[in-house]
Amino acid sequence: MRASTVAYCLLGAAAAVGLVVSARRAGPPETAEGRRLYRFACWGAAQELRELKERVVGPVNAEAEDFRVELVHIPSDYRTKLCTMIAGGTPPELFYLSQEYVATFAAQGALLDLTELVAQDGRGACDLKQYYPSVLAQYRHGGRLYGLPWIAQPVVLYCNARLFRQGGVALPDRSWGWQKFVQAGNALTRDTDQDGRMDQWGFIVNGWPPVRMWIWQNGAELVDRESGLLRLTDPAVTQAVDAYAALIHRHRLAPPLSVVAEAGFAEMFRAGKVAMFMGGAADDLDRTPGLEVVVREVPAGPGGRRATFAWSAGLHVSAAVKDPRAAFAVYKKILERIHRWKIPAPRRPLAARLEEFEPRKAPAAAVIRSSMEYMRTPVGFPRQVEFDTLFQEEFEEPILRTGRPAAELAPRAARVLERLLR
Amino acid sequence: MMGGAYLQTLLRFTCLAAVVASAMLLLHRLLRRLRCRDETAAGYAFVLPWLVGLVTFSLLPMLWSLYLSFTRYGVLSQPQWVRGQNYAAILSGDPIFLTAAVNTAAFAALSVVLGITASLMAALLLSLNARGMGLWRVVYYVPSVIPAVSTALLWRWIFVPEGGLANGLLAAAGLPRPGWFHDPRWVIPAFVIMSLQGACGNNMVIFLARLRGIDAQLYEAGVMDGAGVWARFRHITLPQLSPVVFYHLVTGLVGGLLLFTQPMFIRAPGRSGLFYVPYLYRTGWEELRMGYACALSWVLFAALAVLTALVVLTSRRWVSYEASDVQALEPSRALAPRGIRRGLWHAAVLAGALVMLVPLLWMVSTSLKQPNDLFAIPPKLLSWPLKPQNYVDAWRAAPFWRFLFNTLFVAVLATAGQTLSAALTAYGFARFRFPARRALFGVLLGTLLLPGIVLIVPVFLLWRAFGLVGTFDPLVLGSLLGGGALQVFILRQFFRTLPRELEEAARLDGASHARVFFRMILPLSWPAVLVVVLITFQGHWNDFLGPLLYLNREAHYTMTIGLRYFEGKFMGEAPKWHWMMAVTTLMAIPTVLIFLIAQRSFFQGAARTRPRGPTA
Repeated sequence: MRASTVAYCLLGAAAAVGLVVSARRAGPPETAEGRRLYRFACWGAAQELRELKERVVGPVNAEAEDFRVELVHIPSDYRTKLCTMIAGGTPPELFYLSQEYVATFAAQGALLDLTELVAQDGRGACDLKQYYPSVLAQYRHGGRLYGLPWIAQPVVLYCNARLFRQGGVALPDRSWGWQKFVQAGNALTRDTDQDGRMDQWGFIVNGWPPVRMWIWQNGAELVDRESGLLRLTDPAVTQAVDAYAALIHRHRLAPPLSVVAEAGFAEMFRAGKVAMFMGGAADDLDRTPGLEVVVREVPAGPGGRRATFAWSAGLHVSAAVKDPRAAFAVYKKILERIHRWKIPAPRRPLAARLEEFEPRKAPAAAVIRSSMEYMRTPVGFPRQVEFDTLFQEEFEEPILRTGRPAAELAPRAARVLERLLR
Repeated sequence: MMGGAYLQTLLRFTCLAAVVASAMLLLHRLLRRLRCRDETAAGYAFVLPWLVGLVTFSLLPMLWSLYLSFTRYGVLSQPQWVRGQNYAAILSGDPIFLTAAVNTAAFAALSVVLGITASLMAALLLSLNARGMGLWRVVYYVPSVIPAVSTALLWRWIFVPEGGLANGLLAAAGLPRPGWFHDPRWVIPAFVIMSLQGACGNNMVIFLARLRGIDAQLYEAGVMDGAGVWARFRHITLPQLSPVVFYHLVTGLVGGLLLFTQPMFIRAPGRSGLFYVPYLYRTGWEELRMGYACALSWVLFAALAVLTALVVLTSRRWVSYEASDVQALEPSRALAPRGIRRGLWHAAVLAGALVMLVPLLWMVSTSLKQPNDLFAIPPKLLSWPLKPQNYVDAWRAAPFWRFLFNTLFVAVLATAGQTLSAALTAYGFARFRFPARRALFGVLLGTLLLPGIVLIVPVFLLWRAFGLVGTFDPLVLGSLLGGGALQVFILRQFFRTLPRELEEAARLDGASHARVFFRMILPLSWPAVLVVVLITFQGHWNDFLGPLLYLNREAHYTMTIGLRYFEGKFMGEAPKWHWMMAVTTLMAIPTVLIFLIAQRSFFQGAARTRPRGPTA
């Protein structure tokens, strides 16, 4: 064999060895300074991330002697990254999950069953009696508990007080139902510059707030909680959807979808173009510079029936953790901190201290707590995301865009949606 | 230590390069020992890196996705074999599949035809000899380097029905104002118009190069025979351009049918804006039905393969391959128009330039706006006073200096690796005849046809098996094993223009194939290499999904991830559009600067890489 060939072989072998050895040492260490490492996947923009580090992860790490929590911040495409990590066998030990995905992840065995661990602890964040039942229900699947919520936001009504004053309309109160809401909205919808086009609107919708709120307020359910059957064609459901769409097409107190899509949904409210906006209790709309915003409860439905939508997100433990007890201990520390940072906390004793955790929400605290008593979440099931997408495409969006009667589209949409519930 | 992460990646990059080089040399020796011809041994040696990368990062993941297409796979759990249920569901009339397929086919057909027309018209305008032509070419080309995400956001605002720029101009002209992205009848046309912004990029350059290479004597002969302008265009120009049209037709169809990024940022009514690959992404990554998504991807692959084959087969009737190989006896010298026609020509060039520049101007103006003016109705081009502080605020809102360094580190290393690998592979295909060469080249082009989204998980598993998830390596090391199909294609075309006599003379003098390649071919190929460097750098600079999937620590993040910090999708925090546009503007600067500095070499390189027909 030629000398050069031997040289090339040796060079290649040396390089290959170097490659393998350095690759084996690559990647995050299992322990850091002798401590167990727990990766915590989270979402959030820049400000949120900073607060999470300062108020949750930093203090937990400062107190910890035998572990360290490392944030895995995923600013966008959260699900893609999280699912890739799980499917790739490198799941983060702790992670956020939006409520509509809990059943899906639980059904596929990606979440640690916390039922026994929570029951054995039973204190603080593990005292299930403290939680709002409607929110906690989202984190159960097949009778088992797969996570705990770290926030439970009811939808509340943000009102531009200056526009109400200018329009001579009284601010909303608990006596408001659909009728008063529509009357006020009409009075606050105006062509302020007399150019023939409305430029101030009483309200705004674009698929948010969820039409389910109207359905619940009308005494109906989209998916029956007991039987799991679809109720889309029930008259009470279609009437509620028609009432929702009428805000745009009949009463004309909300702008068309095309205007909303480009001007920006919340942005129109922040620009002072919309008098009433339904948003999450934790939203910062009431701190918009240059606006005087008050927070009220959403109007009741016919017969004074109160219901509002609750959005929650949970903290979960990966089913792949090697030591569930140790991971759960870290989980609980993190959760307790988050409950005292993000408002509204999903636990009644902590919701009562809302002003303490977020002083800027003090003026709205009573409204938020009152709303939490009747907030509701959709029925959770493994194909919920697909169901919500098809519900929006096949039923809700065409109605909002064209104003067609809900009863006309309901049968066809029901045929598409029912197979997802089986 | 942070510095350790960079050094480790650099070390492994160097080691891998050494391993690849050794493997190439050893393969050549081995094949020669087995009595193979020198040309066969050299050919396989040069394409070895691409072959290894093909098997590792393409074929194996593709086979895996093919298997998954016959399963019910929710990503988070193990696949369950369901035989052909997924395909049966698709082909028996999944209404969403049909809608997405029809939308995508309509878009692809329109965008290809109009895109080729627009790029040809732009090339015709800019092929004339006139003062300042170089500057106009830059103006027409630069918008094509804007990231796809920015393009989508910009055109959303241009097409705002009430007071947007497009409808404002139409109203001023007394024309009807469509709803664009908000009217189901106008969604597809709006996407097609948006796609034309990129038509004056590389497509125009390649047309321009070919136009300037048409022999002037052909036109003179036509004039002497009494042919008018249209007749000369139809019987001389078009046939001479036919190979380029063929190339744009194939690449345009593939690009149109694989449209992904822009629809993800534009919400259209109902399903009027639902395209095939976004539907595939939604099915796999939002609804977690990856088995079905894989089946969708293979249906698309089959359709693309059939379409491409049809175009290739029919091309023999209308593509003049003989003409494309004729070297111009003297360059075509179309004279600049005179008189009133000169004025019309100037007006047309100026109008086209304005159309090209408007999205750029809108991007910059948004970056300087006050937050309250972002959604002013009607939209404002300028906000007063300007707020350049947006740039400072955006940069300070996240560790962008670190992100910038990480992006440069990844982009430079990956560009170097990919360019070298592409050059080696292209040289192997261009210069050596070895068994299965044509089939392998076909496979190389075929890898363009499968959406990469369904390969995410198997490729991730590979990198995890190597122990390299959480490092820069998945973004960098793979560049040494493949080079990219487009880059290989471009360089192969260029290498084929180089006279073989140079290499033969060097070989007779005792130079090895490696020495010929590095000391002769590469230096002669500088313009084409520059084209590949620019395209590759741009791709890595704007890459988002790769960094998102493989980087876990904020200190490792790149600019594209940092940009998403301003989206504010959660918890009621409003998106900071002005900051996003500020960072986007900053991100566009490097690629624009590189192009401005190297544009002469770039156009020269593009001219030499123009397609010459499908003959391998």
